Amino acid sequence: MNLTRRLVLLPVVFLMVVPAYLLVVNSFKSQQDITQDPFGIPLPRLSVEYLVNALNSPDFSLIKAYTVTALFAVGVNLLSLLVSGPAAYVIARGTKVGHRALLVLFLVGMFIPGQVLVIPVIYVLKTLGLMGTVPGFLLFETTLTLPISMFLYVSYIKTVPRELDEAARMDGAGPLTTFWRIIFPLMKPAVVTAIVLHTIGVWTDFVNPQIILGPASSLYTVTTSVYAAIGKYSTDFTVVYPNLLVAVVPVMAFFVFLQRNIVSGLTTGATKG
Amino acid sequence: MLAPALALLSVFMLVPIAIAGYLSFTDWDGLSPTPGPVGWANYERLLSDVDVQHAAVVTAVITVVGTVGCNAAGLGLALLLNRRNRFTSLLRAVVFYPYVVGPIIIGFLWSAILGADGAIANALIPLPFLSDPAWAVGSITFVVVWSQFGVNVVLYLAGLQTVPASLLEAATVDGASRWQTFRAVTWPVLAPSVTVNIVLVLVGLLRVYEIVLALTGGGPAGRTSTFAFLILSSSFRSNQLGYGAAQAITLMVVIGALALGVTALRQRAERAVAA
Amino acid sequence: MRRTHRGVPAVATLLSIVLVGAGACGGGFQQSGESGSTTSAKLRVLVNISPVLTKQFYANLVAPYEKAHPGVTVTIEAPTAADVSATLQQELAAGSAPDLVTGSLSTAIVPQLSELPDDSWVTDAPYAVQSKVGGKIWQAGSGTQVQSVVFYNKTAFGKAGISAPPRTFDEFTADLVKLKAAGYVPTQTAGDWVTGAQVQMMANPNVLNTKPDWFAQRDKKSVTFADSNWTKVLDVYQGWVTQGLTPANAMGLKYQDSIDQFVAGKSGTYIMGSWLVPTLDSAKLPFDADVFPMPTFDGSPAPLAGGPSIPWSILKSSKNQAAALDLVKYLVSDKTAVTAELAAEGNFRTGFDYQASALNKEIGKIVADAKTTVVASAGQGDNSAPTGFGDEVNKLVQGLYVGETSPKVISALDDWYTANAK
Repeated sequence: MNLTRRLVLLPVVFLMVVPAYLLVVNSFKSQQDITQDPFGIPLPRLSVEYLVNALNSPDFSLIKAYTVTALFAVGVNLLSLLVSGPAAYVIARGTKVGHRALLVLFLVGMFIPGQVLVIPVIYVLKTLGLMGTVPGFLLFETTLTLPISMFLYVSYIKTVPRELDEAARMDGAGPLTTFWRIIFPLMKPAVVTAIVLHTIGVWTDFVNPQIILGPASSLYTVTTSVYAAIGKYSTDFTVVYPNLLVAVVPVMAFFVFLQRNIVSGLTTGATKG
Repeated sequence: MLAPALALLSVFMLVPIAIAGYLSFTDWDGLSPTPGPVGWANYERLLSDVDVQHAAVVTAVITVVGTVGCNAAGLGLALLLNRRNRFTSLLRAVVFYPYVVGPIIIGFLWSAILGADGAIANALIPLPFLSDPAWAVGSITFVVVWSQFGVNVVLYLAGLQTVPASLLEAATVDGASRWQTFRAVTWPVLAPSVTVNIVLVLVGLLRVYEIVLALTGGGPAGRTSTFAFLILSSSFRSNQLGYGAAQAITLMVVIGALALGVTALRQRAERAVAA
Repeated sequence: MRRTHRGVPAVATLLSIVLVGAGACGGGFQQSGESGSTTSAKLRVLVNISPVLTKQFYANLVAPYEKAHPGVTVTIEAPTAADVSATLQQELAAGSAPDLVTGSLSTAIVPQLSELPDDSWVTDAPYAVQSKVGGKIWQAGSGTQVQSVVFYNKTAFGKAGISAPPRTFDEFTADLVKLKAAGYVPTQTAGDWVTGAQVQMMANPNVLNTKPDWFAQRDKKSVTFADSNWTKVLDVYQGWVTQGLTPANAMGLKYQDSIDQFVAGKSGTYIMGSWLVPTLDSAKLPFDADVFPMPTFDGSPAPLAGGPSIPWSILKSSKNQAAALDLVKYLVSDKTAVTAELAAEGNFRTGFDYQASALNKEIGKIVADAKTTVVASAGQGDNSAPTGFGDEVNKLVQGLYVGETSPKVISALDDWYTANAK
């Protein structure tokens, strides 16, 4: 068994690691070194010059892109929680067929491809005067998080005993207060899961920031920055590798640090059904 | 308390779908002040459009091969990794990291590896990974599986935790072979997990866009365009928003039907294994 | 229950938004702009990015203007979609169109653009008058770019025993065979947009020489691709593909790859626009580069196919019409600006001379020798192909690399044109 395990795992690990290896090594090499010996490490000729260029690239302001994307992630997570928490509470506690139907309506969103929505959404946002603006982008991205949030929160709240609500109501608290004061503090696992999933979602999203923010906003996320920086220069590997590395390193640090939470978040997210 | 969530859902999901539905029956070019109604013409055109046919085939190949690939690799690896030690969590991270990096960056990285002047061509042998349509579809499918099966590994690992250890022990005591144990004990317990995995991958793969954009840009000769790529790249480029909307609505219907169909089939299968 | 009642207004909102939203997507984007002031404005400019036309190039180009007009700031914006045209479409849809735009635009967009005045600085701009749509001048170029030339590796020609550049396509093909025997990639191409563009460069001089208004005639179906020299050109090209006279991995190459290969001396010929000149001049070529005019079928001199280089237009929706117009005037008539634009792409304009390289002078000679001029790429003004023509040609021509045949490509081209013609 151990031998079979190794025989299978080794090639898998190899396949997974080699691209990352190339990414790191080639970020320090000249175009000639990259094309002549992509896998090699020409120690004396390694240079941080290309990374420095990537960091100073006019198309990709790393710090700005990371700040923008991180703020978007925070904004979307906050909005998503504020909007879907109370709604999930009402649906979870509801007893009517209508509540069940509402939940289904929210969940159907999971199957709607973003490509269907994004072009018509341009016109909706334009009508609202929010096209190309941060609020418009945040509201749309938040909507895309609702199916997952609703799914997670409703199933979680259902496991919280109703007696707690009753007790709160005796004390004269309204449903909104009951939710935020009594139920919400108990929902930590579900909230963490949602935050993990939404953060990855916002972080890796490319189409929506590309189209909704557009060139007019001059706001670039990490993905749209990378596209701007290397889309036209994809044959110059001294631009491609360092820019990709610069885009990936902080995310990887975050991932290594939070791996356990991310994995467990994802797991509860998908198996709770 | 429901109002904000419902408002968002309506404004940014239901209304846009309604608009797309409406536009799909018009010849709107995105510029003229009023879209002209054309009835079912856009949908009829879909049926005879070679680009749509190519995109349908490419999407189908990626989806079918990718779904099987992600699930086979995901379940297989999960079975191998199903023990608790440091090594396991390290390996889990190794297969999972592409998901966190995201498809556009993964696409650019692999394009530097598979391209005509890429790492493999220069270090080993030049193969037409991205320049021959059949190879290119294969490359896209591979990269999609490479970047996504880590999620399936994680999900299947979680599913395996629900297999009662007592049952596994009992099977071993009874002298069941490893395969028999898997068939009789693990597989039935895992059934719901399999459903979730299949549906998630299926729905995800039907919308592959970024990896195509970064790897091939839909070429050569438009033969590697997926349906999602076709919708986004053709709507504005050729001023055919009405036609693009018809493509989008079609994709949505197909995804919906497949998700429902697979879920229904799997529920029957789950009942069958349970029985 | 209080909370169930809350649902009712939500549903009502939903319905009203559906109605308002669906109604609002038509109409209302043709707000015409205000004239604004020339001394104080923030101008957004959407530009075409290429290996030589970088964001930095445009920033430097407008810098002197900004300095002379302290109240005016110019923001350069690169396309976020596939190209300038697609990005502009998106921005128009979004209601966030820029003030100015430069790049190749389809005539479908002309109703969204401001009419340029009939002043001499406009009419003197190359192709401003020729590209009129319905009598309206909507773009002014800074120069002329040539799209009917073939760059070649003179050293390779020598090694292959070719004494003089070809005049006919038969000679061209024969030379390519010799180049192949001498160990060169006979003619350089790439995937990307390059394949189709090169075939258009081959076709335009040979199709439009007898009927300069060919596209307008095709709109009326009085000519077809099948009956024109397009058929012959595609036959020639298919022959090149099947005989391996183009790179085997052509479809895997990007535009920049094809430049790199030619610059490295690996290829014998390279069909490309005159904008390649600065790149060749700045590279240390390991060979002698030269250029010859596009061959024809009977050996008669081909007409020159040209188009406006870096053409500028103003969006109707701009609130700074006056400032935008003043900037365009600067960009197409100021000596410093125009020569900078010409030098960047190695383009031409009489009266605006700059330090021309040897290669540049060769192209200048071809320009001077040409008896007639025809439009390049997808035509100009009223005589131009429908939106998406270039993309379609490119896709169909690439089909030759994946098993299609030239008759099939031709008939698909005719079908597409008929379905999309105005």
